[in-house]
Amino acid sequence: MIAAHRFYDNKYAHFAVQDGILFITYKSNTTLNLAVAKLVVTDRIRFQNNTNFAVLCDLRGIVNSDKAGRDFLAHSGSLLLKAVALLVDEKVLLGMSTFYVEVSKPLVPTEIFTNEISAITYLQPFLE
Amino acid sequence: MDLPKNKERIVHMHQMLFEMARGNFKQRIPLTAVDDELETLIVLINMVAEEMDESIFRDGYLNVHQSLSTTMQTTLMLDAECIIIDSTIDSGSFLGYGSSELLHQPLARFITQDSWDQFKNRFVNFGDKRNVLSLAFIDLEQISFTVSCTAQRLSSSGGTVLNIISPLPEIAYSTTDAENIIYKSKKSPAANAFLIQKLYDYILAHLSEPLPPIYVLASKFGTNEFKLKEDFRHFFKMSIHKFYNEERLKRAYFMLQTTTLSFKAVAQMNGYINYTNFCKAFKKEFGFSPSSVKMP
Repeated sequence: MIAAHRFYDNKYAHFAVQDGILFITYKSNTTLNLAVAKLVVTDRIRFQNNTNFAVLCDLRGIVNSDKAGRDFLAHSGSLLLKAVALLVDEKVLLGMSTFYVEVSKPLVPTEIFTNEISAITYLQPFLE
Repeated sequence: MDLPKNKERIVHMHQMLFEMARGNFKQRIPLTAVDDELETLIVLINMVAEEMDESIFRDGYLNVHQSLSTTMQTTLMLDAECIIIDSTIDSGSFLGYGSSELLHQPLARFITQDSWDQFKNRFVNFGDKRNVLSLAFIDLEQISFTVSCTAQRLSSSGGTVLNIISPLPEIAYSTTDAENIIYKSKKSPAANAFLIQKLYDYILAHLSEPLPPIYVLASKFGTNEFKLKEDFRHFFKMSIHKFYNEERLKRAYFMLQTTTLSFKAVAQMNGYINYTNFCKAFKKEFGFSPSSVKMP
């Protein structure tokens, strides 16, 4: 996998680069555990091919998560990222992602949005 | 909320909270895939239980039947002139006096002027029969503290019964208990857990930079070098430097596994100015050199 690939799919997520933003979209009914987090982060890093990106992470396919998965994502999952915009639904995922930001404490600037346009606007200053 | 399905979800939440109170953090409330406020609460309770289970109560949890603050009840009987005419045994202890020292003394001597005015207005001037009020007492050492009281008028004499709930004074403990509590409060770094959490977060967020000297970290987190090192070791069973080194080497290993960055770049991105030092530290930590880690 090299950066020239503009799209990539694995079992749990879809990766795409558009206008300098890396879009990661989790697939429906995904439970974010350690195995899923490791695969998504590893594939993301390889997809980026050593380039830092601002990321819009669409979590709306996630139905549950565990601590190991969240911790891995917050720590190792921050590698080669400038900033992350989490795109979620209004109720359960909003609670889950707020918990992630407050308790798991991702190492890069991370904000939560329920609207894709607002999420993209947030990422603009991080694009070079 | 009144739907049978929601009632069942609330019962699950009750059960879960009771399990957590008993020390069982392994139970989880079943999810229903409904996107509503109740489901949000259920998910958050599950996540909190998981955090508690894995971070705080890994070694189990004992719900000891002892709280940090124990209360005592004292009853004072006042005549119509608000003179203390009788009391329960040891009633003076909450103020530091002997039992008999309160007798035949005016209540006004043991409470602040504001409290006295409040009490007088209600029970002398306006003749309240029963009331709950907060009174600021003054102890033997002239220290003022506010406690919750109930006051009830006596039917025939015009006097008042004053029931006072106050924290149990240290003198009520045995000497050994009191010494243990003081010892624990001095030795326990629990109060510094918040500070060590901040240091931990700081280190993880700055693995790409050399670790500042401990005195700089101590100053940054508002403590002294010795205390910072001691408290960190209490929680992590290793020194701050060892933790920092282990974490950045783990991060370097992960980067070597997942990226095609050069060894030198990985070293620099993990706070190593000197590549040779990185190789030595890596080999010491993992038993093999960075070049042995190949991207699959």
